[in-house]
Amino acid sequence: MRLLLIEDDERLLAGLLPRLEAAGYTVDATGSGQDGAFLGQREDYALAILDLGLPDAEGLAILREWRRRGCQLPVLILTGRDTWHEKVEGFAAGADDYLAKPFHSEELLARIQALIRRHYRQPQGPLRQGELELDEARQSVRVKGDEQQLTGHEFRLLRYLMLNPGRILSKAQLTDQLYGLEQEASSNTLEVLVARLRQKIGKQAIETLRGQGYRLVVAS
Amino acid sequence: MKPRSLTASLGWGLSLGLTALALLQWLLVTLVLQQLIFAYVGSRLEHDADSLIHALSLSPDGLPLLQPETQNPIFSRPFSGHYYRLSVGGIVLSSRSLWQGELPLATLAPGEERLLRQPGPRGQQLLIRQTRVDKDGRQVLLATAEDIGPLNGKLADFGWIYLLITLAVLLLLLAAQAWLIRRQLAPLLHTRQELLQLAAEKIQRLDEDVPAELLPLVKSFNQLLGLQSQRLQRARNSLADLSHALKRPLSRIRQLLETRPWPELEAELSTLSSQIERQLSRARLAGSSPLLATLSLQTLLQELLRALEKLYADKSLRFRLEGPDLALKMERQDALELLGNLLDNACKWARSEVVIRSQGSSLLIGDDGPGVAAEWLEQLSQRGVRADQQTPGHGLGLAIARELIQSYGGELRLGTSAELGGLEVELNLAAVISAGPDQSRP
Repeated sequence: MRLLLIEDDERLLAGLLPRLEAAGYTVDATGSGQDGAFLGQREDYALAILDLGLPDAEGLAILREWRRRGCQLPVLILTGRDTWHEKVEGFAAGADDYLAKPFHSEELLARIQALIRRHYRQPQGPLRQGELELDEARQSVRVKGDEQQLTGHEFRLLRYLMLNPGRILSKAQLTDQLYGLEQEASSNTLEVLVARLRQKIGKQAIETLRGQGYRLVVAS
Repeated sequence: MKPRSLTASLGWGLSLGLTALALLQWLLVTLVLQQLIFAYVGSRLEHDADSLIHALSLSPDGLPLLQPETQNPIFSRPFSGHYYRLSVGGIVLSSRSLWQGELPLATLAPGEERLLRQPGPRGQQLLIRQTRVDKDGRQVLLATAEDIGPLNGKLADFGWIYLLITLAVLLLLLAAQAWLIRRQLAPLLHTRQELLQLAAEKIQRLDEDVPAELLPLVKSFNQLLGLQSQRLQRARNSLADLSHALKRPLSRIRQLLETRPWPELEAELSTLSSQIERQLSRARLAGSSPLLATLSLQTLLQELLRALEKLYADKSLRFRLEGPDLALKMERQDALELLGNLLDNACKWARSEVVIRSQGSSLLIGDDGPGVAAEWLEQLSQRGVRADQQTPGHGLGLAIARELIQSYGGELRLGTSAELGGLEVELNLAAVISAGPDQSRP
C-alpha cells in the first residue's frame, strides 16, 4: 500500500514516517508542493496526505488541479488550519478527509485505513476474503481460524490483494505498492514473496496468470 | 426614529412648490383679466362721457340740453345696461334706460375721474365712472355706467376652465417629477445594492461610475474599504502565522509523546491545545457589523453537512434537516464556525442520527447520543467544562459556539432532545435573523 505524503515539516515527518511504515505503508514523502502535485498524478498511490501551507504551493490548488484533471486519488488533508470555513473549503476542493494538527498518530492511521477501505469499496472492520481474515493491528492472517504471523512485506502484499479480490494485478503494480520510489526491487523479489505467502495461506489462494500478473482467488 | 427619505422630502418639497406656483399663476391670470375688463369698460365709459359732453349744450340761462339725435339708442331702452346721469347747477339729467334709478354723482376736482362698482337695477353689476367737466364756465358732474355682469360671467367660466387645465397640467408635472426623482436617485440604489454585494464578498469595491454628487462619497468609501480589508488581511495573516507557529511544536510534542509516553504532560498538552484553540477562535471572530449580507441557513448547513458526512463517514450518520430556511445577518466565517462546532459536537456523540430543525427564530440541533446528565448541563453551559475526558475537545466546541452567538446578541441553551434522547442545543437566532425580505436578495 503506497502513500504520498506532502508535508514540509521535517521534524513532524521524522516522527510520522516510522509510524506509517510500521503500519505497513510504503510512503513517498516530499516537502515540495510542486513535486507532490506531479507525483500524485503520475504514480499509483492508494492515498495522499496533503498539508495545506506548503512553502512553494498552496495545498488546495494542488488538490483542485488533481480533481480538475480527473484524478480520483483519495486525499486526506492534514493541516493546522482548523476553522470550519477552511474545512468546508477543503472538502469543496475535493478532499475525502480532513485532520487538524496537532493530531494523534492513531487517529491519522485509523482515518487512512478507513479511507482506503472506502476507496476500494470494502466494508470497515477486519478485512475478510473467503477463508482469510487479516488482522491489521497484529499484521497476521487467520486461515480458517488458524493464525499465521506475516512479515512486513507479506502483510503489505496480502492486504493489497485482499483489497482487490478477483482482480488481476500486474507485477509492476504490485511492486509499486510494495516498494517506494527509493527502494529498488527486482521482479524476482516479488515472485519469492508470492511463493512464501502461498505457503501460509494456501497454494490455490493466489493464482498466477502468465504474462499478466497475479490474482487473489475468492471462494464464492 | 424613522429615517429621512430623500425621495419623500424631495417629492414633498417639489410638489408643494409646484402646487403653489400653479395656484399663484392661476390667481394672477384671473386678476389680470379682471383688471383688463375694468380698463376696457372704463375706456368705453370715457367715450360715452365724451360724446355726452359733446352733445350737451347749455341754454343762456344755464339749463342743460341734450340733442336727442346724437344720443346712442342704447340709453333709451329701459335697463339696457348702459346708463348716464349728469347734473349742471342742481339740474339733473338721466338716461331713459335708467328709468327711476339713480347713479351717484360726486363733486370732484376739475378733470378728476373715479371708477367704482355698485349693484344696479335688476341684479345688474355696474361699473360706474364719475367725472367732472367744466363746459362754458359751468360745472358738469357726470356719471356713466355699464353692466359688466355678462363679462364677469364669462370671466368666471374662463376661470373654472383655466383652473381645470392648471390642475391637469399640475398632475402631469407631479407625475413627471416623481418619475424623475426615482430615476435620478437610481444611482443611490445601485450603490446600496453594491454595498450588499460587497458584504457578501461578491465584489471587492464599489463601482465609481456614479453621479458627481455621489462620487466623493463612493471614493472615500472605497479608500476606507481598502484600508479596512488590508487591516483585516494583516490581522488574519498574523493570526494564521501564529496558529501555524503554535501548532507545529504542538504536533511535534505529540509525536514525541507517542514514542515516550508521559500521561501528565499529555494531559497538560491537551489543556494547552484547547486553550490555544479557544483563544484563536475568539481572535478570529469578526463579529456583528452593520454591513453584512444575509446568508441562507440551509446553504450553510448543507455545506457543513457535506464536510461532516466525510469526516464521520465510518459512522454513517443520518442527517435530518427540518423547518424553513432562515436568512442570517452574520459574517460567513463566523456562521460556519458557530454551526460547524455545534454539528461536529452532535456528530461526535450521535449513534446514528442528527436532527437539525429550524423553528421560529430558533435552531435546534439534537442527537441520539448518550446526552448529558442534568447536573452537568448547567456546568457545561457555563464554562465549557469537558464532560468526558475521553473525547478531546468536547465542551470546547460548545463554549466557542456560545461565545460566538453571544457576540451577535444571540443565545445558546442546552437540553435533552425529547425525540432522540441525546443532547439538544437550542440556538436563539432572533438577533441575527434578517428582517426585510428585500435584503435577502442583494
